[in-house]
Amino acid sequence: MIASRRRRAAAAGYLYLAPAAALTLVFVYWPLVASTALSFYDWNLVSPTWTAVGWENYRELVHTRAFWLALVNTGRAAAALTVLTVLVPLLLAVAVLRVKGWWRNVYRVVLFSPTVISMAIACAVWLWMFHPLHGVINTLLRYGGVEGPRWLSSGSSAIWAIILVTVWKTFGFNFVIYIAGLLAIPAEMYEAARVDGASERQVFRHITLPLLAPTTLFVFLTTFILSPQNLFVPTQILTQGGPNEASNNLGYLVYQLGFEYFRVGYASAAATLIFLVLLALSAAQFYFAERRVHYGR
Amino acid sequence: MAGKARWVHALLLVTCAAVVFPMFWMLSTALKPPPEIFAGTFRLWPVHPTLQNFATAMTQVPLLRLFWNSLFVAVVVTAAQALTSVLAAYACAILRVPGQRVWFGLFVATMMVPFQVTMIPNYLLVARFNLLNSYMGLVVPQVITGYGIFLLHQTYRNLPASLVEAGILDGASSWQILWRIVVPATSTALAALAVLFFINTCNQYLWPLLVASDRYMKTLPVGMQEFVNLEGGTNWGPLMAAATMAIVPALLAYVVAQRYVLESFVTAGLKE
Amino acid sequence: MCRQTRVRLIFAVFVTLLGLAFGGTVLAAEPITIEYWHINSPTFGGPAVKELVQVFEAKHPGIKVAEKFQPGVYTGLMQQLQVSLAAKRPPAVAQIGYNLTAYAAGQFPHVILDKYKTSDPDFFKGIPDNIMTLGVLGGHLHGIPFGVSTPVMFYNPDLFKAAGLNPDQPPQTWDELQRQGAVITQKTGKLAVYLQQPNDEWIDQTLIWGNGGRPLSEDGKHVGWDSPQAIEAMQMWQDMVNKTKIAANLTWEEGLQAFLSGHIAMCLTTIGRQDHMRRNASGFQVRAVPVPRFGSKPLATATGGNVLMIFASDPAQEKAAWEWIKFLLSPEGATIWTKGTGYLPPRAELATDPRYLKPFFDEAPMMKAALLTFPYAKPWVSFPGSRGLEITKILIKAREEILEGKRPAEPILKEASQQASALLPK
Repeated sequence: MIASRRRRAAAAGYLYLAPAAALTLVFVYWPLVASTALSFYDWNLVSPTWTAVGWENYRELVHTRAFWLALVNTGRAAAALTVLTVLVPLLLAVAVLRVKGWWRNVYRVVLFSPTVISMAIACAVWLWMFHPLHGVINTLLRYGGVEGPRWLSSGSSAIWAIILVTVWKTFGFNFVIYIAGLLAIPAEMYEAARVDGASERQVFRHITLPLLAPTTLFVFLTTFILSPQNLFVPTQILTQGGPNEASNNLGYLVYQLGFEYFRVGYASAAATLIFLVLLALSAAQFYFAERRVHYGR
Repeated sequence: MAGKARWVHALLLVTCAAVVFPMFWMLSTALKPPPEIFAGTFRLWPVHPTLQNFATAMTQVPLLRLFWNSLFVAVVVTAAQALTSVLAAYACAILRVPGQRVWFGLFVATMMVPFQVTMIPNYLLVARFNLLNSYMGLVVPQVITGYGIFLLHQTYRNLPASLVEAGILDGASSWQILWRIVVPATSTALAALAVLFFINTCNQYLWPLLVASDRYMKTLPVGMQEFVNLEGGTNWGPLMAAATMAIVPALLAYVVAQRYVLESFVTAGLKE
Repeated sequence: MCRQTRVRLIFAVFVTLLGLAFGGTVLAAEPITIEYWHINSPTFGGPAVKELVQVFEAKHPGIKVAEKFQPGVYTGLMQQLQVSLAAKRPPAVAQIGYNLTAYAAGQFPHVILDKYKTSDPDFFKGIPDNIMTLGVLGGHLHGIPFGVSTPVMFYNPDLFKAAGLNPDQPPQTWDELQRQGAVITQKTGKLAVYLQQPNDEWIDQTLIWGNGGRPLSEDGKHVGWDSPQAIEAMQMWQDMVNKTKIAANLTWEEGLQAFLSGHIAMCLTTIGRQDHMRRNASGFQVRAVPVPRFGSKPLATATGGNVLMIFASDPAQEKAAWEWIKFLLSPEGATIWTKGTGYLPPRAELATDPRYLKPFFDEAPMMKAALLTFPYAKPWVSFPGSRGLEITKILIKAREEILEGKRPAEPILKEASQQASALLPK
């Protein structure tokens, strides 16, 4: 009696699970498997025949200049983003909390605003600002007597332009998280420290930072893991990976291989490799995180 | 002390100015007539502001249609995401169906899968079922949300057990318990999630780019990109006007509801 | 009849009437809408396309033409086409650049047009064979060649005068151009020349042909971008941009706009832009001459233009598409097209026919430059095999890097040629 009732309850429960389960299996896990399978074929999206090529796609990928450039650029971007969107927002958050009254709110609202608008639309504006002849950046540089480079079509600056736009767009999110994290530190901690005669700097180093550690870790991890994905839109709109692959990155490479070169199998091989790399990096970071962060100490 | 405060203000004001400048410049360019745009001298604000760029933009891009597409898709996706998250989190956290731990793990793990890996097979799937350039094709693959399930799971677990038990004692069905007890008790979290979902979906770019190649099915961000390509580099005035029209509603909504929006992002971000 | 039967009878009649009404509306002649993909932006024949659609729809009330501009010229259109074919929603008719005809014919499902030679023989009369072959591959007709263009050099006589040069004697060789260009830059402070930089390698092929090289080897196994002639030509271009700084490095639309607003003296681009140039030059009369030669080597240019291919799979759509194509190449259609662009009509006799294009050619002096060039036109080489699109992109990217000027042209061209050649069919 009870067993069948439990079974009925379980069945009912599965009904609740069903929509999410179906969607996840169909649109995440099946594609994951399909993508890996696809990576062993050569197909151009249009022809009715698929050619099996074994490990050829992977072999070719590892020997392609574009792939290594993309890897290097992604690393550069991840490093830059980590510094600029993990450290700087922290300082900004501390600064904003120093301010009293409604100014605090104004700063918060303004600094967070880029995060709310669409990255694609923002990139159209940046495209205009980076224009080598008429864009405002080079116009202002000309006033200073400097001939600004062609930001988006110069091999050395293209990826940095993309990084700049990404920083501008995403720092607000971390900023706001830091504010919440800082506010969560109980005021008594600060008072106790001040009573003990600690200086501002000491308070910051020994109380604020350690108590902020879980927040910092969260911010660091998400920034790092999401950086390839965040790079896609600026790359697609501003440079398309150019000039001559100089600003290509892992976030863009798969799209380029699949929808610009139409080498769907090859693109899938790239996707699979990228996934494995990210997985390894995330695992490594979690491992380090576990060892270094002490909650509530 | 006052001196220090002034430094802080100065730093923040400069940062704010730098952050806001692109949006301001967008508006300024949109209001400039073409000679001023290409003048080569720096003017913060147009000498002869004009609305002609806006008029041109409206004729070259079906803005209203793009707005509607974005809005429609965002509303449907948000509702669907909210619904599936609620149901799945309920099943895992409260009903505790057998195997819920595995399922929960699977749901959360989707956050680890970058879209580069799934986009090609998903595109092929949607194409096979003839759903390209359709609302269905735009909406359905966007409904997965490991994040929503994760967050709600957390929230539901933190509910006092007595609440649910009272419902069981009253003889309520699992459905009734969900909608009459659990959801109302966690409405702030759900609302915060909905705001997050909505903003994110409005701003989605890659999936609509792949799925909607038809001019009239594009969402706003993708339509904007098409506009960038249209003249290949001389249509800056109307382009900035179009961008202004696209961004301003979002910004206005944000400013009006800013406390709410900020708290949503924070709640969502910290609950882990 | 009992009540039940009567009810059933009434119901049956009602349903039948409904069915007839519905079926009737379906069967009644509904306009067919075909999609026509082209690369003609508002500044490059766009208005002519709209005019053609209007005239055609007036003559064929059962057909509507939805014309769609595709950015990125023929390369961009090709990408979109590939995506649309994968989605099983291709356009009915599309312009396929001559350089990508082999690629499209080999990779994409499309309608082979041989059958129309027997069903519509009159249409094919008057189109010279050497034009018709542009659409023939492997013995079959895959697309109808839709006009040809040549590159020409547009120039601003006022800037020549301002620099103290004779506007009636623009440079005829590249050496002269560099000399006169230096004078112009010095005396007027404006840039001397712009070579078009669109999303294709048309001008690059023109430079290679002009200097005596071959874009593709005779046996089709080697991409000729690394021949000494190619290296010399591209290095010259790089030097004009970076060393002597007489050439502009801009996107196609930006370069044209700079020329038209008087900031650049000479502009090498397709004759297809002549109508736009004529109407939009600010304050000066645009003139045109053939592109410069390389010293004493004969003039040689790549032939621009496209074939019209039919991608519709539905017979009604195919029929409508064929009607559209016939109209585009009819005397009336070709006249509108040539006037609105500068493309040379596929039917040569139209140029001397006073009803059609004779007045236009008489009054459009710039067209002379194209007519003078046409006898020297070489093919716009199409890279064979399934990776043709990729090869085109590699070459475009090579040009981008060359013009950036950080490395000399030779290593860039050698790398690009190697990469591209590896993608040719073995």
